[in-house]
Amino acid sequence: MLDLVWLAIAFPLIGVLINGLFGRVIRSKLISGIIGCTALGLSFAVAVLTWLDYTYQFWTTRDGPYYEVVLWPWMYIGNLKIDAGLLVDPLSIVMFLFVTGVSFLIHIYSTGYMAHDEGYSRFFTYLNLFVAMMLILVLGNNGAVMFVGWEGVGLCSYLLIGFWYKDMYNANCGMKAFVVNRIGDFGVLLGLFMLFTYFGSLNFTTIFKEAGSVLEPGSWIPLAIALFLFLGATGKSAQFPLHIWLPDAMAGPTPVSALIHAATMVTAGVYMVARLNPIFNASPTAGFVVALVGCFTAFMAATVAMTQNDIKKVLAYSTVSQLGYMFLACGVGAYWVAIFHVVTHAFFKACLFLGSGSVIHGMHEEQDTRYMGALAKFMPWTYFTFLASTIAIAGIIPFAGFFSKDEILWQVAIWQTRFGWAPTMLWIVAALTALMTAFYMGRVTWKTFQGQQRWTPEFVEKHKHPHESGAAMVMPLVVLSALAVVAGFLLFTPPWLGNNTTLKDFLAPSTANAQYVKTHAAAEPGQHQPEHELPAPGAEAASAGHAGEHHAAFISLGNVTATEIAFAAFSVLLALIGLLVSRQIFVNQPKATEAWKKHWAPAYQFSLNKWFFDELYHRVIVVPGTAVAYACWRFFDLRIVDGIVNGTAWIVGVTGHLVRPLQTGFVRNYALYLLLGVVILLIFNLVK
Amino acid sequence: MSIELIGWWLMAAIAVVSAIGMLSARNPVHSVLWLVVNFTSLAVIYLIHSAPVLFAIQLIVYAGAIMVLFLFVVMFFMSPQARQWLRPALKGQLVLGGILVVAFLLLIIWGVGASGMGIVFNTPLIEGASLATDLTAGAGMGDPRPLGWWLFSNHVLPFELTSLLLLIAMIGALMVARDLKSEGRAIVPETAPVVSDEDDEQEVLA
Amino acid sequence: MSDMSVVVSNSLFLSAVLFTIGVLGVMIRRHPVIIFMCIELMLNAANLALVAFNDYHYSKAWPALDGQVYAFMVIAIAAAEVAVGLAIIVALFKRRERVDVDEINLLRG
Repeated sequence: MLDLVWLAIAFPLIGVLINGLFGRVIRSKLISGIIGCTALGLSFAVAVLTWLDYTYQFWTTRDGPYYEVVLWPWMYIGNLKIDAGLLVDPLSIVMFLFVTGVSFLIHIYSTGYMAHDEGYSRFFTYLNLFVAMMLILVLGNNGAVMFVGWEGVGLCSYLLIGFWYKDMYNANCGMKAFVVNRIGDFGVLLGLFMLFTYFGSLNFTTIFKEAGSVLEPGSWIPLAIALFLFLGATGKSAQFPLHIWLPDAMAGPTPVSALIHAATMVTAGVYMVARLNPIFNASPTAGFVVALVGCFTAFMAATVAMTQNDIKKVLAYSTVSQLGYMFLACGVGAYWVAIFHVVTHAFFKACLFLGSGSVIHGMHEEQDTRYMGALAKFMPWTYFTFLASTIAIAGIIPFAGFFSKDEILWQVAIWQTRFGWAPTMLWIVAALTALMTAFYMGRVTWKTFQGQQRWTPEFVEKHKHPHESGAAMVMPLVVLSALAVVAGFLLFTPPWLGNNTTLKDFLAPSTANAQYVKTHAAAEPGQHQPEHELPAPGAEAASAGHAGEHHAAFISLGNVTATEIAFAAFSVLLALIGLLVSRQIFVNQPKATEAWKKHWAPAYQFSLNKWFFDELYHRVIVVPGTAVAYACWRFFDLRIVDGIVNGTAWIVGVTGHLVRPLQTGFVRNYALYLLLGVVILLIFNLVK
Repeated sequence: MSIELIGWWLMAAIAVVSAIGMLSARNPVHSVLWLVVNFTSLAVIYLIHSAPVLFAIQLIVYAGAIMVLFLFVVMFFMSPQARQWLRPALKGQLVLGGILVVAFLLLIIWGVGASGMGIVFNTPLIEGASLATDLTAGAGMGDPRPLGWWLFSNHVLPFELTSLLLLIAMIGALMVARDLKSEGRAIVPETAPVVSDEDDEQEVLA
Repeated sequence: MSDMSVVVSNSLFLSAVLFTIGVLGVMIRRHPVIIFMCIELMLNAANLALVAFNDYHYSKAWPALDGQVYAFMVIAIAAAEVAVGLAIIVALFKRRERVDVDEINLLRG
């Protein structure tokens, strides 16, 4: 089965061909939808079979974690040898499984959501193409193939954001996403070029094998490569400073927001960092930057999400924030935790987005939570699935979000770095963000489903009340919310709570790194031991500032288990506070918020306007850029480029005018010229 | 002097004389007939050069079919005014053309002489195998098999393309020469002015 | 047969003379059919050179008939050219009484 893994890419591509080329001929939404969903179903089946086969082969043969499938030689130019190949290893299998699985559910959902849309087959064409590209991204065995997928998903994202292209706003949002992503792609390219320069290959396995010998830890080379790659990751995964495109990406259809801009594509950056973790491990500074940016993004996006009114905008900023958590985990070297959060986040965020789509559908294209309220009794399925996912993202035990988020916080706390203050600071900010996450998710849930009915009069007049969505939309919601509940403890539980290390052990071959080796190598399955490598118990908690040496973890107690429990309890407490406070405010005292808005007007405006990032970029980049472009146009284009072109035309004209008399129109004259030419040639050849 | 050499000189003389006759005849019909004579003499020279098949083709296709076509065209469409001999309408054309032609001929002769073939008048160049001996050793003079074999092995693709070209030319000739006016849809509108030299304009309009 | 090669070199001169006469005809004659015939004469001159070269270069080491094949092709292409060219001349004859190549100068610069 491992050799046939390309089938998973082929199936959606076949779907693309059928729906893309014959969509207008088929003219049947049923058939288009069945084709789209079947392609994904088969793809998911391939993923499951690959996983089973890999597990079998891995545990029986154990000749390395990487299984490469070289499909065909792609570019052989000089030293550059690139094959179109796929790489099957634990990391790609995890991504493979959840990408195809979530995509499959969202495809089914889309058959219901897009049922009344004209571009039905076009939609499924794009969706299938997206999945194919995403699989190329996560399964590619070298940087070039990954980059193909990287660009491909960017293209699909652009196409789908602007899916309703007749509205100029949507088209502009698509372009914004594309342009901002371009900046990141530029970083990825530079990173890949540098990788090729120093490794002589783009093959991941080669890079993994030689990273230790080629890259000098702490030198500027791994730092530069890592930062270039991370620039790409910030673009694709919407991290500061390139996060501005993701909220606008919500202009696309909601299933797209769920699939691309929440569950799968935006995690590509996290995936890339985790995939190339040897590079990041070789440069502690790069890891520090990644953690810092991730943490800042998480905090910033959470503050913005607290005041947004559009249900999808809240979820969009929530996504940015959660992606920040993932990068924070990557930055501290806990790559498997980042991937763990990618997976759980995919479940509950996809469920949230699909739920919001169900709400929008039920409210007939109303997206503003100010005009919702009290939807719970009209849309019970949507409500309960949404609520479950909200609890999951808030991080309440035993929902999935708790396990992944808590583990991130814990990994930050035990991070060993030479930047002494960093673990403390990052942990505090991350915990604060967790509180805010619970608050704003509670806010959007309560405002939408509870409290008073604030429906617009037109809506009431036209539709009377919202309606629950059909089975095609509810079913994926139920599956996803169930996963959002159980995925956490099925995949991982901390040592004090059953010590289920399924995912960690599975991912270990791909993400084995200093962090893993140092803190978890001693922990045998089923038997937790305190980490010996941690600093001596003498160094107290929060003493990071003077922990000395190069290791300054926030937590360095002897009894790690007790501390972990305390930390977990603390984060659950934060989540509960967030949810309950928001319930108190938005269900019981909705009027109070008005007064606070006035009282905290500057802060409120700051948050509501997304920290004025768009305005800032407009002033600092767009306006000067436009001015430069204008100047180039006035001077360079009009004078020099046009001058060259017009000058050429002028020269041609003058020459033509000069030689025009030769063109007499008399055939015999032309014969004479011919003869003249022949004679001249003969003279040149014979007279030497 | 062998019989071939005598024949060659005879045919060469006929060829040059008939070519000049073609050039200088007042009546185009005479020109065509001169050219037939020229082509026939060339055909004999081909035979002397051991090219029997080309000899036959030259006679049948060139001196026969093609020249008959010329004759038809001249006789059907020729008007009395068309009988013009050297009347250069272009200033200097005759002088300049004559100078260039003489230069061309001298250069060519010089070139052939300098190439190493001309200096060996009357002496054999290559001993042993020659085309003539090889051909006569087989089925005798006029055997088309060597050329046929060569044509259908090394040159089969150009040969087939030639047949395609002939087909295209046939269709093209039909299209160009058919009577558009009688079909009522002239490619050139009737009202289009007939362009000519200014001094001829009145003649045309009249 | 040993004096065949003498004929070969002579044929090249004959070819040059005939070709020159053809060129001269194109230069000085005004009747399109005559000009056309001069072109035919030039083609034949070239054919003669090809056949002569074939004869000259033929040997045991290189028993090829390429020259004759080329001459054959030239004859075939000349036939095609005559068909189209005469068709054009016929079309010209139909359009006007007098035919003079010097009157066909629409492409004047």
